[in-house]
Amino acid sequence: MKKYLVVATLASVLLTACSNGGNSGNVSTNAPTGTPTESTQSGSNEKAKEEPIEVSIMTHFHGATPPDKEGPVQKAIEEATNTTLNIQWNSANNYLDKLNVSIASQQLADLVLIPNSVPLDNNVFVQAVKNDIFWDLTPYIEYYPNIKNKIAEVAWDSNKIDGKNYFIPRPRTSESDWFFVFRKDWLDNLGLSVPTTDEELYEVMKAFTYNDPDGNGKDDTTGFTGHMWTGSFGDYKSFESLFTSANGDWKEENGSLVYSAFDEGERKAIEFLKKAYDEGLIIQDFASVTNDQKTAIFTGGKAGVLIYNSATFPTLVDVISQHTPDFDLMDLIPATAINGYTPKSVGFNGGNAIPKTVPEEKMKRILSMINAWMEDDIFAMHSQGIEGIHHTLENGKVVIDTEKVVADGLAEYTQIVFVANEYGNAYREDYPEEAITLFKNIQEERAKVSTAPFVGLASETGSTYLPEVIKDLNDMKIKIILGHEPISSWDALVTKLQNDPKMQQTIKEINESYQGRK
Amino acid sequence: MQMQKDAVLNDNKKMIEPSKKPNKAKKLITDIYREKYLYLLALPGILYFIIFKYAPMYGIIIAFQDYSIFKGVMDSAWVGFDHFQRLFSEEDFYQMLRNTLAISALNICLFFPLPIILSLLLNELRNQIYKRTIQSLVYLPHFLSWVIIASLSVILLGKSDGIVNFVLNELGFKSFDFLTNPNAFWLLITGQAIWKEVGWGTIIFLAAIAGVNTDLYEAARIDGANRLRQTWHVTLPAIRNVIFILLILKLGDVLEAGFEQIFLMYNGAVADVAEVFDTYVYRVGLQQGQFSYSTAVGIFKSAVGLVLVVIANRLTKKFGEEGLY
Amino acid sequence: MKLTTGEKIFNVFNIALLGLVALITLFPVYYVFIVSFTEPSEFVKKTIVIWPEQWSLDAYRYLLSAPTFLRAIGVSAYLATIGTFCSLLLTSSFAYAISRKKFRGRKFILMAVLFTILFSPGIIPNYLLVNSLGLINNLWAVILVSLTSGWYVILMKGFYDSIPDALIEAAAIDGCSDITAWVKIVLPLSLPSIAAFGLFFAVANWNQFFNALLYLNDHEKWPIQVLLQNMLVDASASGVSAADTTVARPASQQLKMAAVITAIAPIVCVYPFLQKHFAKGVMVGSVKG
Repeated sequence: MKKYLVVATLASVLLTACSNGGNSGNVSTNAPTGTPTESTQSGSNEKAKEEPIEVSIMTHFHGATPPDKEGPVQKAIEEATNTTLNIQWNSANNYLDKLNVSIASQQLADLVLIPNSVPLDNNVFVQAVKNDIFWDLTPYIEYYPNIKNKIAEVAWDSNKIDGKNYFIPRPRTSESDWFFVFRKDWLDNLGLSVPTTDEELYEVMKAFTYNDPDGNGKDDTTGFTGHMWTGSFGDYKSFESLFTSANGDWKEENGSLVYSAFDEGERKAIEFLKKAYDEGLIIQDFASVTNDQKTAIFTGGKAGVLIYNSATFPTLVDVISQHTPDFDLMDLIPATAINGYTPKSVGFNGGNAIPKTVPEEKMKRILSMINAWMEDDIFAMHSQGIEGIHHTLENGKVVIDTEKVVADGLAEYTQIVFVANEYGNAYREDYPEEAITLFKNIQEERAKVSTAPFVGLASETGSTYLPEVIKDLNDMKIKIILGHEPISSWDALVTKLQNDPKMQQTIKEINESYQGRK
Repeated sequence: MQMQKDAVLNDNKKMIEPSKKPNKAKKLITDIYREKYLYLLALPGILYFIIFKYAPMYGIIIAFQDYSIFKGVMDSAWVGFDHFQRLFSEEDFYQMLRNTLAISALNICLFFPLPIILSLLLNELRNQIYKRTIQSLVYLPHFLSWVIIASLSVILLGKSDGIVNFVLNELGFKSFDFLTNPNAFWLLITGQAIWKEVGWGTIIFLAAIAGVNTDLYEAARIDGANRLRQTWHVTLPAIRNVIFILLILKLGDVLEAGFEQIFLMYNGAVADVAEVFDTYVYRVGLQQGQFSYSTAVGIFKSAVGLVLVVIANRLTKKFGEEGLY
Repeated sequence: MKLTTGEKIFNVFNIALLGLVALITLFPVYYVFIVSFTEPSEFVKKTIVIWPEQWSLDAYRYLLSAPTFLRAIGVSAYLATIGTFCSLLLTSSFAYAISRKKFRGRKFILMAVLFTILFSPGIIPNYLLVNSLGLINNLWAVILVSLTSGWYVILMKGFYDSIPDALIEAAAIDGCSDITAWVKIVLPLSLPSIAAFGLFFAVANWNQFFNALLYLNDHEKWPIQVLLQNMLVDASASGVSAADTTVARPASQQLKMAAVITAIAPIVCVYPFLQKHFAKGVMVGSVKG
């Protein structure tokens, strides 16, 4: 056993030595807190003064393989940020387990990803903050222009714990969130226009099901395809929002928040879906299909309505065009707003936190690193790579070798640092002119009426109680749609929940948290 | 050889000093020394279990604490049986218990005998090439993850586009709801498990059958037994202890219900019959970092399994079998 | 040997039944196999492909040429051989020892082993243990953590139970040393179980995934299943990173299925060699009385 203690001690000494290596040669040890230790101009001569520091980053990836640490893009990023990166890539599926054991064994990397879309939903993280595990970054942010300005106000505001920010939110485009998308060619064939009300939506779905929209003489199409998963009503939440006008679980009414499932609109949405299901307008196996399967139904030309996002249209177009000639981007169209509702996204997804085991000077260096990484030309490497290897310049336009970019896994760097492009959810730079104009217009129209969700509100009772509530509500919705239960069961369930003291307590706590934010 | 010499020496010692009562401790030590090779053989195993299985076992006590990963096991507060009380007073507790037991019961009654029967049938094949081919095919589904089986199930059993329903319709029957039908769920789960694991399960029995002394078959044949009686009187008894071991171990898992499989096949329509302890813990416990609660539920499941194993073992011994310990 | 009519009918029935079982269990694997070779465009139109019109090796080309995959396959091969060898050695020696009736304290040990099957403390204590042993980010962490389990020990012991002490003692009396007796008698008799458990350990090691994820920080040390699982399971639909618009395009069905076949292939190749140990009965020198 002694031998193991020696090994363990040696190992921990080595680990701490590595993470403290950055302290050498640092000039401003007596500087007041809050001042950056490094000029934020990338490529300036002052950088030569300081040694690059080794930064360990814990993050996840979704693709087939993570990028190579000896690859040219990583080297370029390291040079621009004056660091040596030790990135611990983890599988996105089991990241939370890894995070938990890392916290439990006090083996956190220097920069840690909190992967939940809304990190404040991660109870372990919130407890960690309360136990002083992570740095309060609030006083430091203003010294790093890219971090401050390129991440939206709403992202910072939505992620405060006790009024402070304990992580850097990963910015995302907030406009043009996933919403109803239609086969424009089918709409044209049937002489229909993009729906703006739920009645029109119903008519479109019906026409897609019964009026042979693809003109092949076969009765092989349906209206809507979508999927759901345990704990979430998935794509079908979009229908609920049309009737409740709420984006997500909470809705503002007269200055306070109410639970959107208790709204009258929710009941109407369930009736809408039930009617649609009975008439065959949504896929019959809506409760069982996987994400892949539901998309395959759309790309296979068997359904005409999907919840999607115009910036990712190429994924659909690539597949549909393989069996439908002349199919291109303009054959898909997103709805602007239905019933006056269109969703706005929160503007962030997850966040990166720095544990307090990292000394203050190094923490500031890490912030500089992120700041430098967020420079446009550095960030561009995530999608373009290096000239000559991943893309070429032809007449001033960038021609990307997509296969090489995918093979090198460059997109995964986006999991660490991202710079949200205002129109990032509407179109991609390489779309044809008319597509760009169209989707840009749609986004601008949406921005006028879009509804943002309420996220990151804290409720102690709710953290253990709400998952059960959501499950019970979703289960009931499915049973009613399938016809196993009558709509009156929904009313009974809602009444029961409204009278449950735990629910009332949760609503009270959520509202307190909401008021605290204002 | 050494064994024999020592044995003889000991016997001699006893003859020379008949009056001295054998010292119990001394006998233990001499016994251990005599079988030293045996204990040496077991030593690595014992060490492994102590280090890798028992050293982390202290983690179980967090079921009786309000465990915080920031304070560690030593400094977390004690709450006694609070977590268990919470579990038992859970509204859906009996539903979860019923679902789990139903799935386990179906598993033991329907699934468990099949690999045995299958391996016996395989054993009866004369043509070795055919036998080997079949053997090499039936175990393959074991390697498909539940994710794949779940999505294949939708392709096969889906209400609108599923192959099975397509065939049923062609034959004039109405579509059957496999996936969102609460009445079919338990059988669906058992069916999937059989499909996936029956072939793999034959391996252990084939190995056991392979160990049967061929002389016994010869003797039975001489006594006039046909193949059926040979199987009944020679093969089955020979693999009986393996069957019992596996059965008892399965009883230890009675409240385990295949989390991944159920999680994937779960949907709102079958919620009432699909909710088992593991899915509940996943939703309420682990996602919220409630390690203590999830450990407590785990202990509850293990405790029930332990009780069943002890009872089963005792019964097995009563029937003259070897048992687990 | 003349067969009765009853036996003849049974044979036919048996052959047909087993053939049917093989077909039913083979179907899902066959489907996965076929999809992995199907040109994606064809797969999109019809979900069920019995025989592809357009064959495509793209998926395999991608998997077998990318250095990351090849390296991961190498790691898995290492785990499957070294790990299996160590597991077999440890488990069989332990199981054999406690199967001998003269092993004092075997009942206690068996109960202790059984306890570990039923009660397990979760990933955090195990991680802390591996951490204190200094094995984080070391491949041996993965090997040691899953070296064996009570289930294997108890089951293997069950096999050894059928080798009576009398057999070994008889050999000893006949003048064989302990070692010779072990080699000439115990080993041949336990070949079927060694083949079976060897297969179990090899498969378990080849499929190592969660432990590798947990204990290995360097993705260069990952075995193949970690990469394959990441492709197969759709993290973007699990709710944690719900609809993260930056998530790279998911792998095609073709690639996913090719990944599955790649994971299965080595075991399928190994199994036939082990099969001869599952032949009916072993010729053993008999013990009278």
